[in-house]
Amino acid sequence: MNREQFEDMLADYLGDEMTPEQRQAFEQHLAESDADRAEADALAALMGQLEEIMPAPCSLPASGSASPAPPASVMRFGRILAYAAILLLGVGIGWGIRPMEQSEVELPPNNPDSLVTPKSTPRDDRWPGIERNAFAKNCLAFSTAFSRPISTTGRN
Amino acid sequence: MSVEAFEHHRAQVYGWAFRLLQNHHDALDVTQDVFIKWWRLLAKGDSPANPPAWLRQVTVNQAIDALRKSAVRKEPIALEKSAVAEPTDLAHRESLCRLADALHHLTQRQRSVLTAKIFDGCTFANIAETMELSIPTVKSHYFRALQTLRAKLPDLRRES
Repeated sequence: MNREQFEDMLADYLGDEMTPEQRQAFEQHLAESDADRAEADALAALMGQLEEIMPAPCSLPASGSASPAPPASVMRFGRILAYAAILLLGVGIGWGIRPMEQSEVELPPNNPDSLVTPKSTPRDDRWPGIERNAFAKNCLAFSTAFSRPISTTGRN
Repeated sequence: MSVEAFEHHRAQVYGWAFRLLQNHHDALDVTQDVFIKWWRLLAKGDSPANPPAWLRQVTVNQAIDALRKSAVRKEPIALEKSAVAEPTDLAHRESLCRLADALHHLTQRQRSVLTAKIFDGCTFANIAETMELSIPTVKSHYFRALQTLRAKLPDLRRES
């Protein structure tokens, strides 16, 4: 048996891929060669040690089971996304209630009077008491309150 | 990907990570990192030819990196059994870190063959088909990987 054949058979031996007959024949060879026996024993011992320090987990956690909180980086990323979403919502609503510009007022065609006294009323005038962008400010305040960490240990 | 397929891959990834890290929390962190990498790959329109092999390779690499970084930082021991580090845990963690360092010295193919064999019990024929190599080449990678580990870890042992 040359070196290449020995390594090939030793891989099968250590990898438990030999038939009983092949194993018996290989062990017979090992009994006749001290050097090959020593090498096989050393690698077999290493395999045993690897199994010993790397036992498989007893059970795998289900995704729905109680699991520890995700890493801080993920929490931080999620919070930033929440801020961005709420901020965009607030800006969008604030944009929606802004006063209409003159160019946005629809004018009836061929009516000279409408150029002087447009019939449309600016939206701020229709909602007295609500300042421009007040709604956006409320959204921002809401988002700030909503993004506070939630205590799971009870209130102080 | 179906929910069942995802759960299957997730359990596999967690299992591989746990084998190297021996810690539930660290294994979960690595599992999460691996799937983030996978989703980024899918988002770019790429898809690994063999998802289980890709996942195992990335998981083992991530776990090795995590162990080596924890060894460099000399973090407190966080093995599963108890909250307080015991001498046996210290020795075990030390063994895992040394193993991670030794695995880092293997070629990527040697590492893939070895972990496929040890972690999943794949046959050489199965590994050869997955990696598109000949069976003798796979056996050679396996043998060289064991030889390298033996040289790097002459006294690897879990104290008990």
